[in-house]
Amino acid sequence: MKSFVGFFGSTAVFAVSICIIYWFSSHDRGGALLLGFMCVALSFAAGYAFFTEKNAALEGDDRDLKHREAAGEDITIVTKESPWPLTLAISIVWFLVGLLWSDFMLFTGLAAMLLCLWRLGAESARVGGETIMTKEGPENFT
Amino acid sequence: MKMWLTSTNHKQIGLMYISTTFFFFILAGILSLLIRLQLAQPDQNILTPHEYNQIFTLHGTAMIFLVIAPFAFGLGNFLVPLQIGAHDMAFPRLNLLGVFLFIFSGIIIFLGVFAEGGGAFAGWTAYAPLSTMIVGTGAGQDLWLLGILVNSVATIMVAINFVVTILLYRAPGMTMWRMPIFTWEILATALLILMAFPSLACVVCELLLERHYGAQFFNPAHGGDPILYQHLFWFFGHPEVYVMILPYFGVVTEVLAVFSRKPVFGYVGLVLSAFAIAGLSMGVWAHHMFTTGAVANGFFSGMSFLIAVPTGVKFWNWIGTMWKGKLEFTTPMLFAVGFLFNFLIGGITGVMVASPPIDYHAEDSYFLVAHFHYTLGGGALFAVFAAIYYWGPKMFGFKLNETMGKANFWLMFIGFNITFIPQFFAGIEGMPRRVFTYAPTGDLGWLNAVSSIGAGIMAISAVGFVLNVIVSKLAQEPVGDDPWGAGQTLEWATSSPPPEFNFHALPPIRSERPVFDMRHPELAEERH
Repeated sequence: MKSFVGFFGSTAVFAVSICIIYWFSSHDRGGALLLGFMCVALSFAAGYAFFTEKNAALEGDDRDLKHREAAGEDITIVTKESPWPLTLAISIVWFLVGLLWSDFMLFTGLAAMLLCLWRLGAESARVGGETIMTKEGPENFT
Repeated sequence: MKMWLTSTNHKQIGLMYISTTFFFFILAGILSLLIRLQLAQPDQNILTPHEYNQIFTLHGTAMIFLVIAPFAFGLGNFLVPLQIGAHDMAFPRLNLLGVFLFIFSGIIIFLGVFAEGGGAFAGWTAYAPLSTMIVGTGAGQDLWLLGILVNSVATIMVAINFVVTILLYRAPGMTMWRMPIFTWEILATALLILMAFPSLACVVCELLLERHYGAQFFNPAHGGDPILYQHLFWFFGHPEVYVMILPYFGVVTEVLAVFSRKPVFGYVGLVLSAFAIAGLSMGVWAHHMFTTGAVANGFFSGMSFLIAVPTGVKFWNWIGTMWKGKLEFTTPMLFAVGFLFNFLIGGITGVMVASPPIDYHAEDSYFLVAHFHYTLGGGALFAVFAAIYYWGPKMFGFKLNETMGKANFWLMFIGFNITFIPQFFAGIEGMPRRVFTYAPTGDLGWLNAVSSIGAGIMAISAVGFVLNVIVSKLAQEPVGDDPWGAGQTLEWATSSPPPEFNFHALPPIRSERPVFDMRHPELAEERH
């Protein structure tokens, strides 16, 4: 994880450097702004990784950890199937087409998107009948 | 059928990406044959200029947005969790949403052909004001823009998923510095996507706002600036080149190591050079704009030359990996070596056009067309085939026929070079790209005829590949966990194809070659 922070952080420093050099060599606001945005995005990613590292127990970063030492711990709940991603994708496309050509499609698409997002949220909060992943492998959760 | 529509399993989603990209690859290939048919002789009228413009626009769009990059996402989806010992991707439903948005983006783009006035015809770069209301009217261009917008959102979703999965889902012992090179390259690619694709989404929205809501971002008559479009587009467009090639650097690295029966030479150098390429590629976008006269040519030329350094490091490492190895020229190895040859030509000509004086001459000529086809066709596409032949047994549970595979390679290699070497010379003679015909002057006639013959040979090779898949599927000889007998990374520690949650048991991970260590504990002990 430290490597991860290092990569993102050093790329952010690199972006700042070329942004400054670019500005003084061209005085082009558009390009300098793009490089500036890039630096902000990279810093955000580095910051996210830095704080995640502090708050998460990352077995992957322990060079000598054995599988059995990490066994038994729940790591995530896996949804094996869901109809809502497909429905949401159709809604997004419907909405975007409506944005250009049809108010009916625009509003029905928006409503459908909200419905799908709500159902996805509800699905995330529900755990019954799904699968809990442990370090040892899947266990059916009932 | 329901399973394919609702399953969130990463392997299934990976296969959805791969099969969809193959479908679009066939469409794009047919379009390229039509282009070569039209250009086979001077002054031909097989296609009208408007049809020709639509065809090269769709060909470029399909290859870039619907084939080369998404195939890598499919490969990454299938392989990254396996290579890091995870059970699935971090966000399975986001993953499924991403693949459906990708599929719909392709459908939308191709549906534009049936719109009144035909499909988009402003090229895959859709330069303003060509793509705005000034010239490009009709719903075809709108559908193209919508498709690209949906595609860019889907791509950003994939990238977020890769980053979080690699960051948080590694198995015990799988430190970052033990990850396979392919996974590292996918991480660098995801980083690039997160930096570059928002710019594409932004510029496409601006074009749509211009075309439908009267915005004037790029129209100089109302205070807009067409150069701004080029800045925003190429800020995405150049990193996109590396989004399309970095994962394939990973593919080639893995294939070369396994079929040289050696560990990867210069592991750290390969990782650092991937990130150096990714970082540098964000600062070279305006080398596509030298001839506008509106950018700092010296800055962008210098940065572009610098990219050759980490790329050279990679070549050094690939040669070092093969050096004194027990080379085995299987089909994936042949495609990987073919990649090295073609990509080297693409890279060297890339360094040439990074120099503004040469670029002023080569810009918008067939020299440039040949250059980027050597990079992405001869490079990425050869690695696509290497990946299919190499990981195919893991994905589908059967090996592709080796004899047919080797014929597939040689036809593809010979056909590719016959197609694109003449285009360098046509470009030097001044043949501009994106013209539907040309006068019979100089050597252009025979150069184009040879190029079209090469395209035909490549088409035969592609048909041979399809036949190989059918024949091998019918023969369906079962394969073991590691059909190549020299797998190094974790995907070779599980069955072919892998079970639903990937592993019944994982070997200890104490190096970047856990499967090799498991088979040769005496050597592993020695090394640690």
